[in-house]
Amino acid sequence: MEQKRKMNETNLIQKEPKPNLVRNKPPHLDDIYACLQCGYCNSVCPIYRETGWESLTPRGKVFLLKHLIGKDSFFDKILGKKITDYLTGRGQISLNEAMTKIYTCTLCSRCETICHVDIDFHEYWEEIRKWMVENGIKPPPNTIDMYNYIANEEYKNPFMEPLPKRDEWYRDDYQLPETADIIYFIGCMTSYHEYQLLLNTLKVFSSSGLDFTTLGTDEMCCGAINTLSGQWDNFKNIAEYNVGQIEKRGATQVVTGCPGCYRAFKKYRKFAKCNFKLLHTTEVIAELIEGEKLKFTKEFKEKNLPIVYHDPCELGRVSDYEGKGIFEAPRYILKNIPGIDNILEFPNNRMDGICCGGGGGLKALNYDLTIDITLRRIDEAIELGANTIVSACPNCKAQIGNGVEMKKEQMIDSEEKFKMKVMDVLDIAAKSL
Amino acid sequence: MDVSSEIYKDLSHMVGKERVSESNLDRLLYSHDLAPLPKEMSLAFKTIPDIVVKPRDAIDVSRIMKYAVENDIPVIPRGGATWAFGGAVPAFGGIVLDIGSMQEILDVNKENLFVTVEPGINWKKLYDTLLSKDLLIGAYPSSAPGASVGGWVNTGGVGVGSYKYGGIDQLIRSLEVVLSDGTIITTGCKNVLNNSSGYNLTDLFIGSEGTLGIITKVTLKVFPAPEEIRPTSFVFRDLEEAGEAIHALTRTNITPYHIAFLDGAHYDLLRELDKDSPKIGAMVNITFSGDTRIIDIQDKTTEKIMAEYGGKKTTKEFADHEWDERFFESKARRLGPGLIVGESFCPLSKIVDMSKRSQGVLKKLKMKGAVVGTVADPNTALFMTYAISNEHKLIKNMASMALVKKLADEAFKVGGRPGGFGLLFSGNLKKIHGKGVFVMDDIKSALDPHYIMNPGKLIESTTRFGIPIPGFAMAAGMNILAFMKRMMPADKIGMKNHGTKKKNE
Ligand SMILES: Cc1cc2nc3c(=O)[nH]c(=O)nc-3n(C[C@H](O)[C@H](O)[C@H](O)COP(=O)(O)OP(=O)(O)OC[C@H]3O[C@@H](n4cnc5c(N)ncnc54)[C@H](O)[C@@H]3O)c2cc1C
Ligand code: SF4
Ligand code: SF4
Repeated sequence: MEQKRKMNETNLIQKEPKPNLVRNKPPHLDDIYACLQCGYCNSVCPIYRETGWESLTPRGKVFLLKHLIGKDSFFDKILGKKITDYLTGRGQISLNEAMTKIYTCTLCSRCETICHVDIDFHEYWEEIRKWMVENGIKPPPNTIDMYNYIANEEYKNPFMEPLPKRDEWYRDDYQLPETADIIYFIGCMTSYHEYQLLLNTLKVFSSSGLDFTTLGTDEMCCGAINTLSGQWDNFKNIAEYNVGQIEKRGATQVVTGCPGCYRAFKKYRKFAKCNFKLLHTTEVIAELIEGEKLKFTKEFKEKNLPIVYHDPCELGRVSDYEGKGIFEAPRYILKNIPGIDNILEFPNNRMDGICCGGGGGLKALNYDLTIDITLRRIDEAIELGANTIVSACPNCKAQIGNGVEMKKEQMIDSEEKFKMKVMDVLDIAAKSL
Repeated sequence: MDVSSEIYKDLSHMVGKERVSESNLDRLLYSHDLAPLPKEMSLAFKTIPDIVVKPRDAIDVSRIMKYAVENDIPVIPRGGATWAFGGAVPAFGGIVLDIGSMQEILDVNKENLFVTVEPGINWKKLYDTLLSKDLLIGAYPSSAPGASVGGWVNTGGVGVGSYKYGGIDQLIRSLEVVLSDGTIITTGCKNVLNNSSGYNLTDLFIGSEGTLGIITKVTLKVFPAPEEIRPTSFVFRDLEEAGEAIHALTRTNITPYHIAFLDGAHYDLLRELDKDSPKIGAMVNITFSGDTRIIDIQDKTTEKIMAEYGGKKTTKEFADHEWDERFFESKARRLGPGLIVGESFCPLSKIVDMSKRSQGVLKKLKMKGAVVGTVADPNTALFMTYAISNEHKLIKNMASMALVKKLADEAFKVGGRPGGFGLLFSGNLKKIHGKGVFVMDDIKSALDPHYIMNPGKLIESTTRFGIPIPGFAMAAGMNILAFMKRMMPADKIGMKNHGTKKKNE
């Protein structure tokens, strides 16, 4: 394995914070101390696979945290820390460097699948980020910007896109009702960057005769990036706002195609009274097929066969740790598409699926590293002989799409022709109607 | 302003900047393995390295070794850092070579049944990859997801599968080693047995704890994948009966793939962690591998033997679960938080005696723990008795380390020996090998005249101030710790909320 170390992590020109981490201990201390440093988690971590540095492994990060919150040693007390630092050669640890290490993680939770002492990493990494921010350790600058754009009335999204642009792709073509039983919560990624997926989802929903509407320009970013980057203080407002908008429209169900929004909505329950059922688009479509309310007629293009399904971490494994993972609904839909007889599987799938690279807000910190992870996933798909990578997440679609472009660039001078389509389950469903 | 050191500049020039780090944070993370060394120890030994390097191949390693000799800098090879004896922990600072950067499977030869790998690959990945190609790695440590191939070679381990296929010493065809002067050698023949005459260089490096050279390639023999791997489990009234049953089984020609034993205390501790685990006296897990028809016969006979000593076969689901848990022996660590493991080899004929002695040590030291182990071969039982400690309490935690010494003493009494020496237990080496240690010393001096290959380990424990710790002093110290531990109140479980948080709240 050619192990590369990506050191283009955003250069942080930030003042070194001086919180008292020994006194302000993080949550789940038991977990930090339970870790036996067996390193099993390193073997499954996509970040370690690309970088090879102990500081970027779950084990290394746990050790680092234990060090940061550890009391002074006996000798520190009697000789003074400066002297023991010198004698041991240990030196001061930069908290900004520590922050960068902790945030270099896709929050994929794969480490949880193998942890020797059952650490709930899907919660743990998020909680640690929250604790760091609360202690004045600034998260990556790009995530601070995103936080501000979301809070800004002119945007309400992390990409600094103008608010009116949110529904411009469908405003005129779909005359959606004021109130409806189902709210399709679109999400910022789909609204602004993956509009094909947005249009395809609307097409499938309308064809199935669902009683649905959207929040239009009243939709605000779900706040996932706030929670992923540890910046929770605005989250309650976001939750209350979006829940209020949903209530106004009298909906009993909220459906989203974005696993990030899906999980953020689950968190809303702690902050607002949510009188609606939460579903992922694939669950809704799978149910429609089962109830024979939706039938696909058009064949999937043969030249794009075979397809391989990529499990989005937040929809699959992470949601499973939170109670219910969605693994089968997307596969069930694909199996019902005419022309698709066989769905290829990655060697690591479902609970053991590997992140596409785009999770955890890592793109905001170290984009090149995320693309390295993606390229490896694409190589696996190539090895399987797949011509299309299918996912059920706008972030996965965008990330894998970018990876494919990068791969094409890399192969520009090569004799081999490289072709790979990247689609969402809903894209395929819409095309088969 | 470039504040990097000369050594950083030199090494970066050799292997590339992205493979070298001297940041405080990185150095800290490469200053430990599983050994429960308190922070205070980093004054006696300089456990924090000066720099960490990730070599790509033998050529890189060779260059680094030449540089280290010229500049008189210790070099410490580090695999998965899952060993608990401080083997990969610097005693005098220096260069930590992170072998995790070399993880490639270089050659899978199905025709003649061998594989060549880089030493940094972990055992589980190698096992899984080979199984997908219908090949079986004979044995692997029960730390397989974390332990590297090179690490297990250097600790000379036995593990899962050793009963049938032997320890790592039985599985190696050849090694590529970089010596301290940078010379690259090959120790065996990858295609055929390396018997006949000639000093056996492969054996020299097995269990050398990185003190003689850096292993950069390992060629292992492999086996055709079995038709079936079948775990079975038997419940006993106590460890005595379990021991007698194991003794009887190992006196037959039945050759299970793996045999493990655990006393009921292990399951009691798991229950404290909210795990669904049975209330039993003792458990014996026996796993077979091979053709299903042959396993059927062995399985039946084994069941009869177990029954003679009161062993009751569990359900298949339970046995499968036990097999899946083979990598997860240390879960009880959460209860401390902390865990001390005492590893000792004992003659199989004394398995019952050693079980009782181990339980006795736990009781005397007033520790909560369990006696567990595996059967390495028909002569040898490997005991990995563990006890919960509490990392938050410095004195008590240090005193708990007496467990390792006391279990070693018991092993000697029954004609066995402790396992592993590393940073602290070199005193035992003399006890086991007598004057043989002088020969080892000569070998060390011949191969590493500058004393830079993982110094301070195995042959001689020396603190950073050059003060050697003689075996008797170490033993005396450990006895004092044991005395202190016995004077202290009995251990309680330290964690208030030790179960993992409930899923879905
Ligand atoms: C849960 C658990 C279960 C375990 N079960 C077993 C078991 O069943 N059997 C067993 O034997 N052990 C077991 N161990 C101990 C340990 O995992 C093994 O000894 C393992 O082989 C160590 O490998 P490593 O890569 O972690 O080595 P490290 O800890 O990194 O190093 C061990 C020694 O080898 C040297 N070394 C490492 N790589 C090289 C190299 N390439 N060249 C030269 N020297 C090198 C180091 O300097 C050090 O002295 C267990 C440990 C744990 C935590
Ligand atoms: S969540 Fe994923 S990326 Fe983060 S440490 Fe765990 S395995 Fe690595
Ligand atoms: S697998 Fe769990 S116990 Fe082992 S090193 Fe990783 S976090 Fe620690």
